[in-house]
Amino acid sequence: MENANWQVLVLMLLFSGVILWKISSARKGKELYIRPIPGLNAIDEAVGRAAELGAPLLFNPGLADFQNIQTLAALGILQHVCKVAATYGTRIIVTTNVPVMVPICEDVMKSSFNEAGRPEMIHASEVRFVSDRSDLAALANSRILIEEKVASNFLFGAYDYTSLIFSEGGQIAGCMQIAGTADYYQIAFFIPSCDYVVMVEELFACSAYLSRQPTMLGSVVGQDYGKLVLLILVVIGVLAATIFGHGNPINLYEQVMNLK
Amino acid sequence: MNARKRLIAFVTFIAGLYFVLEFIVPPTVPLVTVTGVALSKRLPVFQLETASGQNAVVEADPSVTFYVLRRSKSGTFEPKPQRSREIQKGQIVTVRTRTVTLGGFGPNGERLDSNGNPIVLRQGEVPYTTDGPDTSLPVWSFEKLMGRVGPDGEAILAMLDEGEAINIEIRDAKVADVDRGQIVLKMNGESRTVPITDYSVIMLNKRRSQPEEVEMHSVQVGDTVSIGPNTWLRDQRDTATQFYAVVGTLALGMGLISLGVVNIRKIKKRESEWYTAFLFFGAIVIGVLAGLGKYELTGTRSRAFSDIIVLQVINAMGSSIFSLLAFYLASAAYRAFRIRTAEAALMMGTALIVMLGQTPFGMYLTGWMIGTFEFLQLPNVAGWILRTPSSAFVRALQFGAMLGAIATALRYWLNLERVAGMGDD
Repeated sequence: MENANWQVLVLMLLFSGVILWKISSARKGKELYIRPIPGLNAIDEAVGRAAELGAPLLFNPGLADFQNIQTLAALGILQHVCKVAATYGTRIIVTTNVPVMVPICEDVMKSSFNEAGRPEMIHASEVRFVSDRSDLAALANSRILIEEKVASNFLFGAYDYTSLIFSEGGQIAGCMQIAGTADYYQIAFFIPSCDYVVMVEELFACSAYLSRQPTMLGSVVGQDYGKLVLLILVVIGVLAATIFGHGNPINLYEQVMNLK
Repeated sequence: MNARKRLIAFVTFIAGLYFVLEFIVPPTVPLVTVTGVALSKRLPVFQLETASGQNAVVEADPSVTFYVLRRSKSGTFEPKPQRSREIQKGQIVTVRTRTVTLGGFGPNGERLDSNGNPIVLRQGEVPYTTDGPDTSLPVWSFEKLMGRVGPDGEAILAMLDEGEAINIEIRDAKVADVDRGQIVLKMNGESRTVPITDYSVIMLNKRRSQPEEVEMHSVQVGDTVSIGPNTWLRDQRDTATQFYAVVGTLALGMGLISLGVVNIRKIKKRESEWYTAFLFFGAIVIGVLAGLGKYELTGTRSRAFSDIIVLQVINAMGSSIFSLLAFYLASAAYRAFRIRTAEAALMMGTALIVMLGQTPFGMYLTGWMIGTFEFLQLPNVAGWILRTPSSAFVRALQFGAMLGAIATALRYWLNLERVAGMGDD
């Protein structure tokens, strides 16, 4: 769709309004509750495991370009993982199949290590461009997992059919694995291969969940209110299709009109 | 907030605002756009001055395609198809007026097309062969290479074999004048003639999907169309996205440097299997050599090496990796289907029904259930699972993903959250 129609415009304004309203109330100090997301709670555990084993972590920010919103969300998680890793002094390797992501990931790592007071942990060469093809990138990722004896593997972002090669590589290498994607067809592949999976919209809530800032939490709650609005619209739609749907055998409207 | 952060926030907001407006603003200016049912039309007519000084007239019917020269990714100039509304007075264009398949010869030796009609070239038109590496493009330089097309089109027509296709084109012509034509619309019961101007966009309204921009010649009698001036934002989208493409291309070198650094370190430190790093540098050299021949003609010796590397090595390796998925799927499925919890048992049961239902064996097992219990046949149950609960869950996930993306985009756009890697330090 190149341009919005009126229905889409109204819905966009409605959802944006709800999200901004909840952000505003969170900023005013209203306490908000977000349900626990096990996959995100396990991030600290995975970093700790690597620290105990003295082995590195591996983070892959997905296969999509920097423009993709899932990649942006994955970078937020990378930032958190780097901060936690810096406190434990754990080495991080980042692999990517998008060249433009190399300097961006390096910058995320540098700023996180600096913020955590561990600038000596900055190793620019730990961000590795592996291949621009997803299948070759998946193989290279699996190779690094075995070669570097990686303890924990993080797969966050957009993935394609190679998701299983990415995650099974970690399974074979015996890594603790946490994956997160909004590509719902790939979730079925991550679930049997990974220890924790962050599913679809949870990925977008990650940075909010991990930072615990009121603004961010407000947007997550706003997201849930948006779902409530959608649910109401779906119910109205189902009722309308049932009552007025053309050719529907239980079309009450047509039955009433026929009786007349 | 320091000046740098303010600048980043400002640029982010402006860039976001552009895309929001571009998305929300309709493709044509609302108040001056007219909508109605097409009753008749007069096609656009282009007056051209050919490179040899001849005058040519082209009516933009469905067989006509306009091209302008654009610099391609490889740095060479290539013809790019243009909409007829994008062609402006004074522009240098190439026009492919039609493509003809050659038939036999007429009684006077004239060349006929596949329908038996004589091929008559109008003023300024020259036939070109469709030989070349990419037949979807006009044969810009291949006519010289093939030695078959000269200035005298008629003589060439006599040389070509039956069944061959030729493009009839007017190349490098200057647009001297444009008549955009007009459409007669039925609006509110009245007929109204809508003249098409340089800025007019014709949108075909569809019952079940979004309106789509169409060429004048695609408009059929009875179509509901909206005609109005183009919005400025709409035509600037390509420019905005090209900016990112340029930055992305620059980063390719950085990716290569990153790989080089890792492999040099591997050799220096004599890490495990360090000798494999030499393969990387060897592959780079081979890749560069193969890349040099990528834009050569198919079938030439300089192209052959590129084809061997790309088609016979890289593609074959890609297929091998793809086949790995089958084994990974088997091991993942084994782990998923081990019944340890109630959820795993439910998934196992569902998967079994769906798998059996998709095969003839499912019908073999439950085909005896007929009449009242026919709905319990495995294919029917599997179909219900896929159609009803499964698609409902997938839609719920889609809704969640969409809302999550809106919330995240809003946070970034309004600078409520800084994108990691955008200058936090």
